[in-house]
Parts: sequence; C-alpha cells; structure tokens
Amino acid sequence: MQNNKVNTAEQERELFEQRVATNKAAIDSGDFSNFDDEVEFTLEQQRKLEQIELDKVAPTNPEAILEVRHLKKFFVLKKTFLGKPLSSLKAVDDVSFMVKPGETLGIVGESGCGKTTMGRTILKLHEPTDGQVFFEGEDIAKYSQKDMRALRTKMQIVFQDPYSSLPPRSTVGDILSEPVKVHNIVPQSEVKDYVMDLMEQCGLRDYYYERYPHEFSGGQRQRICIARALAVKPKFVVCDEPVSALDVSIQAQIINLLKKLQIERNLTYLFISHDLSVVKYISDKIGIMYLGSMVEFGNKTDIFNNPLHPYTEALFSAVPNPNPDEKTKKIVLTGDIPSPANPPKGCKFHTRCPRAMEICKHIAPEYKEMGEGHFCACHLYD
Amino acid sequence: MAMNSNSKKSDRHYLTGREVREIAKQNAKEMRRLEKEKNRKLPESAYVTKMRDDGNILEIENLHSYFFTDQGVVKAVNGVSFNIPVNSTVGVVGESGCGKSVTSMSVMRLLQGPTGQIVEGSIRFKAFDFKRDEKGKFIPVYERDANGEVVMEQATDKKGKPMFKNGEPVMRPKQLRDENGMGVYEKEEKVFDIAKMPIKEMYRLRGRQMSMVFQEPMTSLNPIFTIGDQLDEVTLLHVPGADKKYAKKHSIDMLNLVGIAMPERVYAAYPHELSGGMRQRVMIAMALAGQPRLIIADEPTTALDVTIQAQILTLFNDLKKKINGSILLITHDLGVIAEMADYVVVMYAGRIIEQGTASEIFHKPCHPYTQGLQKSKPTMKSNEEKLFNIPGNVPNPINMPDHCYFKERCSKCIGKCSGEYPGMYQVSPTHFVACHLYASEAENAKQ
Repeated sequence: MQNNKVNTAEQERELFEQRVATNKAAIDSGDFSNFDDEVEFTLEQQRKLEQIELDKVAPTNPEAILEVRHLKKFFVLKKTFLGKPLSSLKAVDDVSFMVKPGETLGIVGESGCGKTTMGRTILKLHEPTDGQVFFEGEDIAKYSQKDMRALRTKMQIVFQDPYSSLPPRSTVGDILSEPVKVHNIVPQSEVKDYVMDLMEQCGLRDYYYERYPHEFSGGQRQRICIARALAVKPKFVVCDEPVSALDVSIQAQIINLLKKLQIERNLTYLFISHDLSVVKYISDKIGIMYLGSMVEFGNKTDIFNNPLHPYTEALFSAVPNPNPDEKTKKIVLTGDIPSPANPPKGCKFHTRCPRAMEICKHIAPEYKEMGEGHFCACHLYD
Repeated sequence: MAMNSNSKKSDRHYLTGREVREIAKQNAKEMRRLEKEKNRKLPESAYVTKMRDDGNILEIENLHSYFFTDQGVVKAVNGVSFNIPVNSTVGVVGESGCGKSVTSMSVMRLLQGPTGQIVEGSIRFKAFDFKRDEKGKFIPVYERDANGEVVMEQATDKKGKPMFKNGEPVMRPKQLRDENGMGVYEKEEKVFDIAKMPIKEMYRLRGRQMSMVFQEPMTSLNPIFTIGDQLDEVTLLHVPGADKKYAKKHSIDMLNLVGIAMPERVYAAYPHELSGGMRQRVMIAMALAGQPRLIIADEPTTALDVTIQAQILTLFNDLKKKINGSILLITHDLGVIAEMADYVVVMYAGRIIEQGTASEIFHKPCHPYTQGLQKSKPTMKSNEEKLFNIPGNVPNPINMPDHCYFKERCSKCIGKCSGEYPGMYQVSPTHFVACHLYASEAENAKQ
C-alpha cells in the first residue's frame, strides 16, 4: 500500500517534470499552442516563494526610511463554510520599493489599481496579508495596533476628500490640538500656541481657530488636513490624492504648500495621484501601478524621458496636451482595466497592451532592474 | 456684547434670523412671478425669432441665471453672451462655482426651480423641427410618382389587415419611408428663443434637437432599469411611429457607434454591472439616440481615468464628424479644451472674462486669470521649480462687488480696476477680453 503511494508521487513528479520540459521547449520555439498554463503558474509561485524567503533575511538598506518588500493585501470575497478564504481580490500583489528620507515617491495608476490600498497598508490602516514594511529599519508589518500608536507620530496621512475627512462638529482648534494632546507633543499649557504656529505655517489665519469645517472652501479644508497630519511632527506622510478634489488654481497653492513644508521639515512623502503632471512636478521617484502590481519604478527623469513599459507610454500619451496646435499621435488603450478579483493570466496588461506578444499571454514578466534604479516588468526587455 | 454683535454684522457670512426671513419673503415673490411665466401658455409666434448670424446654431445673449437662496440672490450666470457656430466645438473653462454648468443647464432649461431661474437674456437655438398643422400634428411626406401625383395605397388596420368599407377597399396616400421603415414627416428650420419658451414646449427640443451628457455617469443612469430600457425610451419618445422592435435595433446601433464591444450584452445589463467608462459611453449613446444637432457635454471625462478619458475624447471627435453636429464642451481641464475645442470661453464668477479661438487663448492669453490658470497647471513638458499660484479664493457669489471680480487676486491691477466692471475689449477679430489693461489696445485695433 505504502509502496504504491510512493510510486504515484514519483510518477507525478516525473509527469510534472515532463510538462515543465514541454513548456520550456514551447518558450524556446516560440510556439505556445501546447503551452500548459497550470504548470507555469505552479512554477511561478515556487519562484516567488523562494525569492520572498531569500529577501526575508536580507539586511535592510541603511539609507532608506521606508522599505517595502513583497507587500500583499488581499480582500477576501468568498469564504468556505468553515471560514477559509475561497476567492480573494488581490488589491496589492507583491509590491517592493524603497524610499530615502527627504524624497517624494509618486505613485501613479488608474482607479482600482490598488494605489490607495497600498498607501493605507503601509500605514497599517489595513492589515497586510503578507510581506514586510521596514520603517527606519524595523519591520512594522508585524506590529500590533498598540505598537503602531507610538509610531503614528512618525507617519501620517492626508486623505483625498477634504469634505468628508474632517469631523463636522469640532472646531479647527479642536481638530488640530487633539493629536498634539494625545501624543504629548508639547506641554498642555503650550498647546494653543503650538497649534497657532502650525496654522500660520500652513497658511491658515489665526481667527480660523474657532471656526467649523463647513465654513471653509475645499482648499482651506485641505490645508487643515495637512496641518492635522503635521501636528505630531511626522517624518513620513502619505498624501492620498490630496489635490484631485480641488480646482486648478487652488491645486497649485496646495502643491506649493506641500513642497514648502517638505523643505522646512525634511519630510518624506508618498504621493498618490492619478494626475501625471502633478506627480511629475512634485516627485523625485515615480512608481507606476497596474492591477495591484508595480509595472515600472525609477527616477523621475528616467521614467519621463525613457519610459520602458508600454502602459507607462500609453499613460503619458493619454494626458491632454494644453497646446491646440500640437496634435500628437495618441496611443489609445482599448477596453477597461480588468477586475482585480479575476486578473488575466500571464502579464496582467496583455489584454490592453498594443505591443502584446504570444509569450505575454502565458508567462508573467519578471520585475527586474533595467537601468540604475529603473525597474520594469515587461517581456519586451528580456 | 455690543462689540460682539458688531463683529458679527461685519462678517459677511452671518445673517440674523430676521434678515433671512426678509430675504426669503422677497425671493418668494420674485420666484412666484418667474415660475408663473415659465408655466403659462404662449402662442408659438411669441418665442420664434431669427438668428443674428445664420452660421450659428446657438446664440446666447446677455444670459442671467440666478439662484434665490435664503442668504441672498446668487448670480450664478451674470450676463453671458457667446455663440456656437454650426459644426464646431465650443469649450467653456472655469473653476468650480464659476457658472459654467449653470449656463449649460439654462440652455437645456433644467435649472432646479423654483430657486434657480433664468431672469434675463435670450438663448436662440436653430432647430430642425417637425412641421405641424393647425391641430399640432406632424405633416407626413407622401410618395409621388413620376408625374408628381401622390401614390395611393390600401389602408390597413392596426393588425396589418387591409381595410374595407362597404366592400370597397379603403385607399389612402402612401407615406414616404426611410431606410429603417420609419415614416418621413415634413421638417422645417425654426429658431426658438429658449429663455422665453414655456417649459412644456422644451420637450420638443430636449433629446431630439439638443441633448446633454452629464458629469457623473455613476449617478445619472437609473439603477433599477436596464440600459436597454433607458436607451429605448429616447427612441420611443422622439422618433414618431417607432415601435419597440425598431427602438431596440436603434439602441444597439447607438451602442455600436460609441464603441461598445458587446452591445447585446450591455443592452440587457443594469448600470451597476458596467465600469465608469462604459457608463459614460452609454450616456453618450443615449444623448445621440435622438440624433440631436447640439450636444452639451458637462464635464464628460472628469470622473474618468486618463486612459478612458483619451478614449472618450477620441470618440467625441469622431462622432462630431459622423453626426455633423456641434458640441458645447464644459470642463475645468485646460488640456481637454486644447485638444477638443475650436473656440474657447473662459468664465470667472458668473461672467465671461475672455473668449477667442483655441490657439488665441492658449498662445496669447490676455486676462491675468487665464494666464494664471495656465501657469498654475503643471504640464508634462515643463520643468519649472515653483508653480505659479493665484492667491486667494473665488469671491462669495452673494454680494459681488461693483468692480472687477478678479481684482483681489490679480497681480496686474491698475487704478481703473477699482472703477466699474470692465466691458469686453476686442483684441483681435475673434478675441475678446474683459480687462482694463487692454482698453488702449482695443482702441488701436479699432483704428
């Protein structure tokens, strides 16, 4: 009986190796008619797990303030009867990057690509499914919410919608002094002076102290949100689409304010936006996300002057050009972004990619370094 | 205590209960008068006019649309005049609250009454309407033979059976039919003054002559009806003699036209099953179903991603050629305007501050606000260190000052700016600007 079992396992292994061999032959010959997607998927999972195990013990980069390794966030959609996850939405699927202090990392992508979820997962506002987040050399992914509370003075967030992220029943003074009191930033007696000082830095008049959020316009509210985030003297701020709800002339005011504060306080930003021109203006490094994965990452100049991934190219050409005489040829992507609950096989972008090849439909490209600090995941550069 | 009340009075946002009641009373009177005017019956001759320039499809002249709120009258549109030539795209830009959406709503007569009212001005629209007889019925076009005689055919009842009277077949003139089998009716070009039209008569224009693509595709489709139901309704209402079978065929054609891959599946789907881009396409299909001559697109791409935005804008450009119509495009994105529009109108606080062709506005902006708007938007090509920003906010729409509304935020103020509101100065044959800085230039241009 036992013998029999071993035999089957051996046979299975043999069979599997055979299938792997046929797949390899298919890749070499470029003929994908007999390609086995199941085997490729298993192999890919193995490769990924090995890489993750390798990276787990690797020392952190001493220069980085934030280092994210293989971060994953899955939302469970369906559960079995016993509560085991049956299917899940991969909002963030294996993202790795690094930010140096004083830098701004811009994250760009279409809606539903997981950029906001990533920002929130880094701050542990969502519990990460897997992966490591090193903040100043310590893995905070394992921290409990209680441990995180102390860290909140170092990392903060500015939310997207200034209309819904302020409590309507508190005055500006209350909103801004609460974090100061909770974290004992200054002695009780100096709280008001401290808040007044902060308000002045963020371009808010001192008589706003007694007012309620509904009395302000969108731009002023966003200033209050920024002041609230900065009240605890953080080192790292996640800006989640801070200007997309604002008008153009107000947008410029807020962006200039963020830049001014960054220089004054040596802040590090993770700037999430779907507006490429704003990201270009404010960022030092840029990461481009598609369906939960990072498809390209690099310095601003590299990304803008030499975009590698076809998605990046299409994204850049889709931005309207404010010069009516220059009619540039556009790369118009067909179709919509696929559902992250059921992403396409192989390269996730192949369904919309204008330069898709046969290999893209079957094998997911590896995310690797192409130039100095310029990462990309695309088969075009194999 | 006395000081306290003083400080409250000086605060422009604060009104006492008595003041609010007084304003409400005055407003109620005014609103009642305007509502009455909107609903009264008028003979057609009262609102049929002539175009100033025959090359235009829409002429807006001195339009005033106000909102009568309890805090005071908000002059959302305060004397706006511009034209839309046939077969062209006119873009209206401005920040939120500048009255661009209210202008478009006024053209469609969709202002939320009784607070929102068109108070003054005229909107002339060249419609290609069905001709009516004395009873208000459409006049059919009859088929004629080579001699010019009307062809007769045997009349049928509703079930398609031939009709007989006293054993003799009943004969009637044969109506001309188009390629879809729909009866043809006589049409004529008529110019309506929309601002003076009774609100009931607007059904003749909305959907059939002009239609609107709304800003939020997520909220403007009815969630409890299928896309097919909502699309068919347009055809059933606006094509005389259309039945459900024809409506379905037409709706699927329209879905095909806007580039939806599986129109039959989308036809049977509910709005929540579609993505944002698809919903916006459905909205555009709905706007096109009545074959209008003017499409008003109110921020059609604001809620969409850049890649989907590029798709929709390409679609609009293709469609304009296909249906031979005009587009009024309203947006706050200067880039979108530059790609789409032939003429640009820049609005600020309910007034037009600059208008001209697209290349004039983008290469030679005159008004300090237009200049500031262009400089404050980072572009993909520029590499500036610090973004230019226009200080301050849009002024409170209640109690607007008499002088130029932009004076408080302007960096190029001159003494004249504290005087009355500047008129439109002509800088070139097509370029107008409302700024005192160009008074002398306009004089020179005249001579």
